Amino acid sequence: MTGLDRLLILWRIGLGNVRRHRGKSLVVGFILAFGTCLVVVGSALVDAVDEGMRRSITQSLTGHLQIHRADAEDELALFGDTFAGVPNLGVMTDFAQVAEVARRVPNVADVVPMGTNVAMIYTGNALDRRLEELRAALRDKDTAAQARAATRARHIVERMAGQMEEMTDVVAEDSNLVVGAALIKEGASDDFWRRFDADPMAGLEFLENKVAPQQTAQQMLGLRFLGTDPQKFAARFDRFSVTRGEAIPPGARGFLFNEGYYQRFVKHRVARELDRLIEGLDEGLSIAEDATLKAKAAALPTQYTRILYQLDPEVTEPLAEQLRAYLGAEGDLPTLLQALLTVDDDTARARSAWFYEHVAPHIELYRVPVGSEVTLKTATPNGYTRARTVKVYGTFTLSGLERSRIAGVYNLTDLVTFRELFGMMTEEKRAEIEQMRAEIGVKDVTRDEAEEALFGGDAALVAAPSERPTPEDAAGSPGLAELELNIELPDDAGYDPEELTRGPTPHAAVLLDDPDQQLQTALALQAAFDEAGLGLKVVGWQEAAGLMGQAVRVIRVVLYATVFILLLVALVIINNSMVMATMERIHEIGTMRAIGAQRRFITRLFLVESFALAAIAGIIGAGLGAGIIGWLSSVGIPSTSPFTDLLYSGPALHPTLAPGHVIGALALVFFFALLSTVYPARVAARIPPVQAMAEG
Amino acid sequence: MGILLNIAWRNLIQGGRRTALLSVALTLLTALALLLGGLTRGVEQTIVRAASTLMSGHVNVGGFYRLSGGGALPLVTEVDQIREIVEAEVPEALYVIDRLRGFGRLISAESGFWVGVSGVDIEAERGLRDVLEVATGPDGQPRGRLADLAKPDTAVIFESQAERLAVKVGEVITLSSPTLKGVSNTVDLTVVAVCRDMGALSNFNVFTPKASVRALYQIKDDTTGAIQIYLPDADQAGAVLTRLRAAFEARDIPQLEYSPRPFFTKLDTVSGMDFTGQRLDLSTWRDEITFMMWIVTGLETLRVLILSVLAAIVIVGILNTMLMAIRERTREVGTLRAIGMGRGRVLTMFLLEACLLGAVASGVGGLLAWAAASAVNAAAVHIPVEAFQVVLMSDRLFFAIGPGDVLTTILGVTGITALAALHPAWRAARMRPITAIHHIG
Repeated sequence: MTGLDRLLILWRIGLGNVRRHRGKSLVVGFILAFGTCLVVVGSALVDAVDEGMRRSITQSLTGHLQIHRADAEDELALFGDTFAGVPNLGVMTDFAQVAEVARRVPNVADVVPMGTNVAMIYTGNALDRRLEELRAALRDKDTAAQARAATRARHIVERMAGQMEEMTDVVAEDSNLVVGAALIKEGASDDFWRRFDADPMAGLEFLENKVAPQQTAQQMLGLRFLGTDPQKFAARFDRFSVTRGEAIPPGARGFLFNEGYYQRFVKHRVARELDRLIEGLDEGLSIAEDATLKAKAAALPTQYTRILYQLDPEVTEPLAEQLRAYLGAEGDLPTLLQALLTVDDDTARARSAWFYEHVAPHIELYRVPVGSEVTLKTATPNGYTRARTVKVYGTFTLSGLERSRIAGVYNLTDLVTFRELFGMMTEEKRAEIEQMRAEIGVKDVTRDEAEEALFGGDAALVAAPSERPTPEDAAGSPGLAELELNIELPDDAGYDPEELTRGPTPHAAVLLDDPDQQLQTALALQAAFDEAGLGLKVVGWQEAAGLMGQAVRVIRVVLYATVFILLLVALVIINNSMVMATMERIHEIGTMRAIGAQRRFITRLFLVESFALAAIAGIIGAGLGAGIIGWLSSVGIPSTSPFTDLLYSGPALHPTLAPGHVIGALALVFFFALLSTVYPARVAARIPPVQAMAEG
Repeated sequence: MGILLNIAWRNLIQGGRRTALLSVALTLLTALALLLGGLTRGVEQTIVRAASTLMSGHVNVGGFYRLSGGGALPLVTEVDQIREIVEAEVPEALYVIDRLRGFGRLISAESGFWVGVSGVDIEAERGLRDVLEVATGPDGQPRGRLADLAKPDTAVIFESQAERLAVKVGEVITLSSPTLKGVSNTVDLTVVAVCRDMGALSNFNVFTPKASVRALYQIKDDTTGAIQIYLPDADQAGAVLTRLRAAFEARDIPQLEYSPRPFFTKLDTVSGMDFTGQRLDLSTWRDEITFMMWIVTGLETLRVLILSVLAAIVIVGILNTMLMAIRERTREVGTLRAIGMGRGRVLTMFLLEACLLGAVASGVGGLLAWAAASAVNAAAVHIPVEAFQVVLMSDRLFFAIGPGDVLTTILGVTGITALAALHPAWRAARMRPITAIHHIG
């Protein structure tokens, strides 16, 4: 008998046994098939999520690799860490040199300079806009426009006066707010407006310099922004596209809002809440039943003052008339607005449409309209305040990640503006500012005096403003700080686009031609930097992504741990079933041993049986798993939350089956099946023929 | 019954290997169920503990002061009067404190980040003093003293913050807070203690004396941020909240509609409302931490998913083993039936056997899990990955397994075993004695 013959016999007996012990085979087969299916589906899904996250992160912000200084204080965390701030990475002083070294490394497609920071913007300053109108009217000698703007401005100042009075209830008497209240009161008095009519220019000056700064900037917004080379960024990050307005033109200072941020925070609150109600209805939810929507709908009418306070005096009566006609109700404007905003499942859509048609034109739908300017206030790493006013050119989206707050966290500006806000100066800039210092120095003083007047004379009782006159800033330019503290840096029209290719930058993204070669390229890049002695560190997108990158790792560990635990218990159960089956077959084994079967033969017989079972179950399970993946791939797993948008890299996850998934699952199942047979097979082999025969 | 129990026990012993194998599976299931549950509950406890001390009381009487122009400040005015009502209405409270709430940027020469600021009176803060654990320095000495927070312009920060800011006890940091006017006010604070981290949550919190927050915002002395009530049982928070709301209503003290959200998310809504002046806003600790509950929900979902798949596998395994065991024992069943044992008793006997197996195996599993959890807790295993720290809300692995959890899990696993044995036992009971006795094999 040849080896092959023996194997064939074994195979035939084994298969026969699998058939004969149908109960056991079914149970063990079921568990094995289930396990295989689980591993195929699980690994395909993990891979798909992994790939999705890679695309989401690399194509939106990080690129494939990131470069920063090797001696950075903190780790790069583009998608945030557990601190609400910006990690201190230090500054790469010469980006041109970095880019030059990097481009010589094969597979490097491009290097994009980057820096991130947090800024505060102050918006909704209605008085300032009215005063601008007033100034324009005075300049143009347009008396009608002047009267209109003056009425509007007075309307606002009177409201401020009421507000200031209430503030003294909660704020200490020595507060600068109390001091300011006196100024506002004066601005709201009949006496002031009589004097205004006599000398509008002097009145305007008073309003601009004394009253306007007293406004409580309730609409302070915090935002994160990315400073980069806007043209290169748009070209290299293919998920980037401009939604509203236009891209920042080459050589221009500018700002692009992230569309998601623009909708969530910049849009008028009432409009935004109406949008969210309609979105909820579109998703098939109901205001009557869904708790979140219900709460939103209930809160909406309470927000009517956001509309009321933005209406100019001349539109209030016409709007009230329109509302009376539309709602068929009586009452004053506040009552009517509340009635308009009281919506349910039936009325929400119509009310929202009416709002956009008739109310929206009279209010500021976006606090910072596209085309206007916005002042970004930042704190340098050492805590000094900087401010820069830039034009808002438009908004942008990262396709597929529109809803994701984590991916949508960054707004965009040019690197030159970023540098100034961050407190880093190019050599030329430093010289330029040094030169300008004397000229602006005078204006500086008047500013100080103005502040002195506004915040009150008793300096000891006034809280210090955050600007600390310490002559030390991030870029280490002693003597400059005091200048930068008290003035907003001159907002010149543009910059030389060449500035984007050189000078300081905190970090830079590296884009690769072949992303699969990431590791090799990272090593080559690191070697090139080390050789050039630049003291830089190359990190992969996983590390650069901060918490998001770690979340990928956590998800993977959890998924694998789950599969492992399931397989472990399955192992025990299979082993158990196998031993049971062996015990049942003592008689049969005894007979085989009696007619001359060796122990080795018995052991092998059991292993072959398991193997056959694992093969059948494995193929069924893998087939089932492949089927599930195929089905999921065609229908897609819909993303249910902004977080899954990010994981899936779009609105749905389409997992694909790779040969590795099936092979891996089959290998695992064979391993587990055979492992769980080793013990029962040895038990069977140890049975002496005599005892086995007798026990029947 | 005693006889049946005796028979069942003997059968199990006689089952030998079969019993042993099933026991292993059941032990494993019990231990896993307990450990996974312990982890989830551990996280929940950590969140609740941290939340109800770092950022909330069990019940909070907060409020908003709205200015007619639109701004709103998270303040409660006339604090003494409100406090009197609270103390009269909630006599069971362990203690009542009040804190000032602020928001600002913490700055050192090295770095800066945004934090929530709590102005506290450390002497009154019994719970906070228990929870804050002063870290030990490399020299084995504690890093500062909590009691020093009573001194003016001081701050208690956490280890990760101290590392980020690169400051030591005794050094000065600056707190800079944007005011409604768009200017920033600042105060300089001396670090008096560095405490152990309490998960990622502690990165966003810093404690100062009340006076420092008052100075920062120029707030009057009879105004505070929120009155926080601590109860003997945190689950009573909802009931106390309802009682207090009724009490304030009876006294015509205006309140906002109850809204189960953290206070800082309400600022925006309040600034759009049309009232001016003071409104109280009551919340429970649960409301203040809604933004973190996704962690508990996520862990819970994962736990249920794993356990149901495991239970399914184990049930199939038990079913299979029992069926085989009963076939093996057909003759025995036949004999029992022949000598007069009723069907009901045969069924009971097999079920009892399963229950006994389940109880013993899960008992062992429960003990093992409990021992393992205690060992891990005692060893204070440090978690190196930050993302895990965020999810687990702690830098240490912590399992919360109580005697009640062990008992319910044991009962549950025993129940599952009995359930799996129901079909085989029923089959055994249905056998006709005559065929059973003649059964071969």
